[in-house]
Amino acid sequence: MNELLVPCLMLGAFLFCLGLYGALTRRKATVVLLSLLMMLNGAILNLVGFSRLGPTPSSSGQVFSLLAILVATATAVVGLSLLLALFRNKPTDDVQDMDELKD
Amino acid sequence: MPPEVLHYAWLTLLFPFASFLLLLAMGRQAKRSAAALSVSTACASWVIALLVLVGRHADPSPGYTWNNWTWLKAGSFTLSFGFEVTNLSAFFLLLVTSLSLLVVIYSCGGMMEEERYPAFLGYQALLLFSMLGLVLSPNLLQFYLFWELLGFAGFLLVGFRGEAPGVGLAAKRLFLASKLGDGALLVAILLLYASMPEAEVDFLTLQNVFPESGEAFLPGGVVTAAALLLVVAAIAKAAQLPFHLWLVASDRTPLPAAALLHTAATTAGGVYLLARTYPILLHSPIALQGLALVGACTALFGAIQAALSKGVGRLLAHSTVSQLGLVLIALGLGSYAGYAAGLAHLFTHAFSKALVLLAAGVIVQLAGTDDLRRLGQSGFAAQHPLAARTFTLGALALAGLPPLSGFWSWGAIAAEGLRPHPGLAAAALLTAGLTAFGMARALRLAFPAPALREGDRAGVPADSAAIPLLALAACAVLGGALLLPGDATGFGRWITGSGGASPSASGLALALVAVFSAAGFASGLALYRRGSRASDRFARLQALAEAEFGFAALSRAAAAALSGLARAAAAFERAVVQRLFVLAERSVNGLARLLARPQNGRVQTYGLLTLAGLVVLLLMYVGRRGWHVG
Amino acid sequence: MWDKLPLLSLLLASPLLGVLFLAVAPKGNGRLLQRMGMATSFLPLLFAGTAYVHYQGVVGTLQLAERYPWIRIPLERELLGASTYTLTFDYHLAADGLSLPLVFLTALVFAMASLASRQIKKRWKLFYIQLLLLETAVIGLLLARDLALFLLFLAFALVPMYFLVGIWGGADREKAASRFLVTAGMGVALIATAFLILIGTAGFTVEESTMAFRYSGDLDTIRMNLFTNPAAYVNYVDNPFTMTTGMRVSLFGLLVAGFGLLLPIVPFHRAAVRVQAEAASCISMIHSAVWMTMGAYGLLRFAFVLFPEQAKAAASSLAVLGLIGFLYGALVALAQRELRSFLAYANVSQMSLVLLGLTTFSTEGWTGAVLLLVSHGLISALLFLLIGSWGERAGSTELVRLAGLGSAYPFLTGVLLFASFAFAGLPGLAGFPGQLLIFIGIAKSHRGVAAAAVIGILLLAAVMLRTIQGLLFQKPREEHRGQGAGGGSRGDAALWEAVPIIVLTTLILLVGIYPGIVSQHVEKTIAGFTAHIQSSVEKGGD
Repeated sequence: MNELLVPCLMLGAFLFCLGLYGALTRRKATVVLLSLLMMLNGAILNLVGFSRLGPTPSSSGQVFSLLAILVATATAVVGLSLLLALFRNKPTDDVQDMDELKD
Repeated sequence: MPPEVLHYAWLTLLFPFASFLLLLAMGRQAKRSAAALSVSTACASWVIALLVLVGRHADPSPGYTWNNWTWLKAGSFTLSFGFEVTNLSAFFLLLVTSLSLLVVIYSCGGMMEEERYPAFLGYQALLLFSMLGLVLSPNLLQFYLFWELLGFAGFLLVGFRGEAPGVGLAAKRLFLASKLGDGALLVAILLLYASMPEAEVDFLTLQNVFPESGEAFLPGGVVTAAALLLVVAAIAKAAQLPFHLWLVASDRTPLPAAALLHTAATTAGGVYLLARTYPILLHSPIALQGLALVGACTALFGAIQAALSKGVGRLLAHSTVSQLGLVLIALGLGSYAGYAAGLAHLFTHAFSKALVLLAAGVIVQLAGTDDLRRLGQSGFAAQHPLAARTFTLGALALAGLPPLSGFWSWGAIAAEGLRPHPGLAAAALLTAGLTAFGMARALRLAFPAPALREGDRAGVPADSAAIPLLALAACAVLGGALLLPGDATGFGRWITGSGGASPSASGLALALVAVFSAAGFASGLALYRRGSRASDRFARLQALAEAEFGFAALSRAAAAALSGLARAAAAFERAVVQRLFVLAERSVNGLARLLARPQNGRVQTYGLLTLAGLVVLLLMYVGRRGWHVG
Repeated sequence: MWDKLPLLSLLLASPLLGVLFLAVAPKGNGRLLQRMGMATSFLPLLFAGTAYVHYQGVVGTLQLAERYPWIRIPLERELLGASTYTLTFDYHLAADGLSLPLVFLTALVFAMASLASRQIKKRWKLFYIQLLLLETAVIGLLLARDLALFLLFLAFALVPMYFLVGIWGGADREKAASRFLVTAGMGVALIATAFLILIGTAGFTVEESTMAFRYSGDLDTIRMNLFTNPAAYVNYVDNPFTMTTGMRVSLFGLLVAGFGLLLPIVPFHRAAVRVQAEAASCISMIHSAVWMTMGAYGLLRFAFVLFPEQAKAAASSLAVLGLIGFLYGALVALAQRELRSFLAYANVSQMSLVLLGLTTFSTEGWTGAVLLLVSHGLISALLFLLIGSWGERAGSTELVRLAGLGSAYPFLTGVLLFASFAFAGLPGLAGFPGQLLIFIGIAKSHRGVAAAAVIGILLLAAVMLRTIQGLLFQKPREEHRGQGAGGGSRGDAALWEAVPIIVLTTLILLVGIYPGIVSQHVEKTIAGFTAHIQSSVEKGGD
């Protein structure tokens, strides 16, 4: 057990919370997307921390994090293109105005 | 006649009921068969009633009771139907069936032109049925059932010509007055039921609980309250002050039906209630005094009103009210002798009044008017001398002139009142004078020409009215024999079933009645001589009488108060209950809206809520470890 | 032959058979659908009549019982000595003297209402399906002996009633339907809460032979457990729940409030009034004759019989509530100008009289209440039927519009007169025996209330007089001249109107002339209830 693990996990948690806060409060859609990615990075930091500094270090955590980064990139692309499509219908990038789910 | 005939007294009830059902099922066209049916059933009832009376006369036992049909049973409460024949009920049975038989025969005449003739006869049969049921009831609850039916049948009859003006008002007044009577009787019965031993309310038990001598076996307050309620119920039904308006307003009722209401059915029902519950009344001096007081006021009031009436119908209605007041005075004297005198007066009055009413029916139909003065100008006497003569005879009997029947019963009442209650006797005598005056006036106004012209006898129509008129006339003349001075016939002893109850023979009272009624009659004749202007002198009084001396306004005010109360309740409903309900509904809707608010379509709100849910779950998970609940 | 058949299940399933047929019938063919609806609604009437004749009133016990296992949920719990531990609900139907007359009334009123449904002019298929579903639900809840089954039927009844009011009524029908749903739904929620608590506490039993522990919704188990408190299983060592006096009081309160919303008890009567004033007349028939009756049934069967001590303690205040409702309903009715709301308020008043009867805790009062429920069902159904017919003839049900039409429609006028007086309690007609018994009951328990309630009888008579006086005592108005039998727009009564009118009239007369045909079925059962309560209260006093 490495004493570096705790600060690493703390950093991950901090990143996650920051991202969560941003995702729930920011009004610009792109910023919300960025915050989501930041949450994801917090989680990935956990994976990396455990794979490197955990009780039984192994490379599987790093493989996972690579996969996660890949998927995150893909989702970011999809998210951005969704935003573009939405923007074509309704020229706004404010998430408060995107309330069509209600109906 | 063997006493077994009493076991079949219930048949008197069956005939009118069957006739009622059949008549209602008949079409409007079947007038002849309807008439035949109702005459034959009324006749059958009458024959049985006659046999029962004869059987009773031969039977020394106090009565025959059959009480075995369990109609309604729940827990300790059992309402058995049956019938009871005592001297009193046998007497009423015959009185009611005879009058109704004569009235039904009479109805075969002019009433045939009514469009709903079978229905009319049916209603009469219902009235007869309920009255007979009342008379034969062995217990108060069965009595109550028929008591209410009696009011309903009266309502149907009074409201029969529903579309004519004034009829609706009369019917409503009758219904509400009799409903008030029903309510009072119901409360009285409930009171007795709750306090009587073993919760029995049949008349036999009542007689035992309220013995003729000694204290009643119930607390004094209960006795007084029950007696007062019974009195209220009876005066509502018997059209006494202040409930007399229903009878007065019913002057547009078809006259045969009116004859029944005035004599045999509704009003007599009120008197019968008092007669039947007399043991209770005897234990409550307050109730007796109230009864006598109401009777005296009504007797005087009705006599004055009768002397001022414009139309025949109102005249006779007021006269009935007044004479029933007299009966109540007699009952209020509080002795069985007075009781016998009162019932005798009910009897004599019934026949005289029925006679006058039926004769008036013929006359009014011939003359086409109800107004006394216009009657006088129409010359009806020439067209139907029988009606004219019997009308005169009946009026004389009602006025209490000797030797007609009314005189004797009047004398008996005065004689009973003379010693213990001189005030009541004075009221009775004064009523006699006033009634005689009013009758003289009516005769003068209706027969301005020499009362009868001998030459016109050829024109007597041989119609259905002849038989009842003649029969009633005979009763009106001879009915007084029932109460010859000194109870020579034993009527008083027989009807009360006790030896010491003979109305006393008092030459003084008879002489006083004769003097008062003769004086009243003579002054009436003198005042309304031909061409006299007497009516103008009383114009103001007459105007007051038209307005019932304020009673009409009083009844209107009561109606207005009731509808005002109803409107107030409705306003309360709108202003408070409805508003509260709307408020409750809105608050439910508001809560729903409040709960639906987070569902606004924004992803961030949803995310926040999800986060909150997660936090709650985590807290629960953590909390469960710290705080073990098993 | 009937001994072999599951009569009550047949009764319960027979409307569903109609639903099945209707579901496959073509949608547009109104006549066919009407005929099918009417025909199938007579099937339950047949079975209900058979059951009614078959029932032995002298015994007064539960009869015709059918019981099959329905739901068994094993509970994940380790208890000492328990071989099994389950939540048990049975499909348990049985009839006693309280439910059977009401079941017959329900079947009758539904049959009559479907005959009267000629006034329905649209969406017949949906209408008849809903009607028959409602009938199943109501009959089911009257017969159910298991709380869960009862709840199922109760919740099931709510939905078709909502649609029946909301789709086929007058102008304001949707509002009325939503108010109905709010009020009745609240009632059902309260009842459900109380029942779930009951199942979880008093529903606990142990079968000694097999040591099978279970929670059940069986009414008799619950009644026995509540009755034999405190030695009962309610407080059995292994039962994690107990029943305190406070809990009993609040359960009683929940049940009274819940069923009181259905009855309705007076301050909560707005929804019922709205429904009866707005719904189509055949639906108003059902609401007044069946729905309100159901509230009274629940109040008696669950609130009063299960919690007699609490009910006795609350009797005086409930009696005052009933008295206020009785007088208030009649007074407000007196001020109405329109026949439907007239009758709606009069119904509220009559139901308050039933409540008064229930507060007497005597065989007289309770038998009277049941008799009054039956007679009120018959009479108010007849009255709503007649109001529907009059509304079609006069163009509206405003009293003013009816004035003077009496001579044009003598038959309908006569029957309206008959029904009005029957409602007011005229002797010889059905309303009288029930009212009399209730008054006899109150005279023993609350004397002052009895005297005051007599005023209500007078008011009710005045109300009924007002409804008919325009017909009886007024001249025809100009625009109505020539209407009616002579040669008007509509005849006196068409066959489809005359049949239910005559059937109901005959029954009203029959019950009025000899109330024994109902009371002999009711009386023994009720006497059983009161004896049970007597012993339970005495025990509580020790």
